[in-house]
Amino acid sequence: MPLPHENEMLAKLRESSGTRNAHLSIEKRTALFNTLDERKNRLSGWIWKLSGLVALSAACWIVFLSQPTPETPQAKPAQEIAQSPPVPATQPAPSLFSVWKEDDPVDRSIQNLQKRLDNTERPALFSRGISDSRENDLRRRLKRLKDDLS
Amino acid sequence: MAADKPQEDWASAADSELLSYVKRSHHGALTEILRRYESPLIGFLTSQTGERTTAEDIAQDTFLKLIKRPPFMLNSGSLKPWLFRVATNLANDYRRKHSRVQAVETIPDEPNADFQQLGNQQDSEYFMSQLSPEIRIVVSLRLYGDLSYKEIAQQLKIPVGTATWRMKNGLETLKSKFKSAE
Repeated sequence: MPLPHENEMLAKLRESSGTRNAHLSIEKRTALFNTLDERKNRLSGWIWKLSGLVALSAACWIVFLSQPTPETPQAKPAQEIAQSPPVPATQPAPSLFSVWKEDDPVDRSIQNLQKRLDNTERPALFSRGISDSRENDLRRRLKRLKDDLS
Repeated sequence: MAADKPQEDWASAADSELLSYVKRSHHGALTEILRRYESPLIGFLTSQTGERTTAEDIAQDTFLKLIKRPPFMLNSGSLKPWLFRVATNLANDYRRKHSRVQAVETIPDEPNADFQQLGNQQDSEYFMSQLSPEIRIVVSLRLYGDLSYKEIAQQLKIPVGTATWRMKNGLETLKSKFKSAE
């Protein structure tokens, strides 16, 4: 609610105001419109970048989804199981020990070491200055290892 | 981008609509906002700074802020309170910097010396310059921004009663100044 004489006073002030029709200079207005254009360009740049990213991620998803997935085994119905022919008895699986024996790295390394020790051309291990006593020691340890394993 | 509006439609558009077009960088919407608010803002800022050129600079900064960081939404549907709040803050910043520079250089003998350059003793700006800063800003916001007492109180963070009292006080002072000039 206006105060008493307020409107009258304000009208008088407006009338005598030197800035009644004040405007920004042409340069200032131009600067404002240039800023508006810059903002527009920046925004459209961002929109392009964003749409590029979206397109790229969509393409990635399409490639990912088009990959064949391994079929998951479906549970057979009980009736089908009952009707299916009996599974023939198979050979028992090799024991864990036999598997270990075949692929045992210790065994393989013993064999390799044995080969090297038996080599008449003195392997590189001994050419590096291992003494005879060290060689004998190695042979003893090898024999003991073999005895333990057998 | 939205389709261009015919020029005559901008005049009837609400501030919120103009703002949405400015956010989409429409020249027509900005022209209309300038047509509505540049004179009141320059008038208000001249009363606050005492210099027309500084007032124009700050008014330009206010509109730049509108372009670069526009308000997300308008509380009362009008852009006026937002523009005047930004302008007030920028004017306060200017005054702070200016007073620091003045303190380093020379201290003027007369308070509000800047206002003397307004020249015409009949100008309302000159009479306004005679008011104390607290009263002057209330009268300026009412005179140039046509803001309600509630909006003025919110902007200056003072009670509505204080804003009304300052306005009354300012009007009485101005009335006596006008009488003595006649």
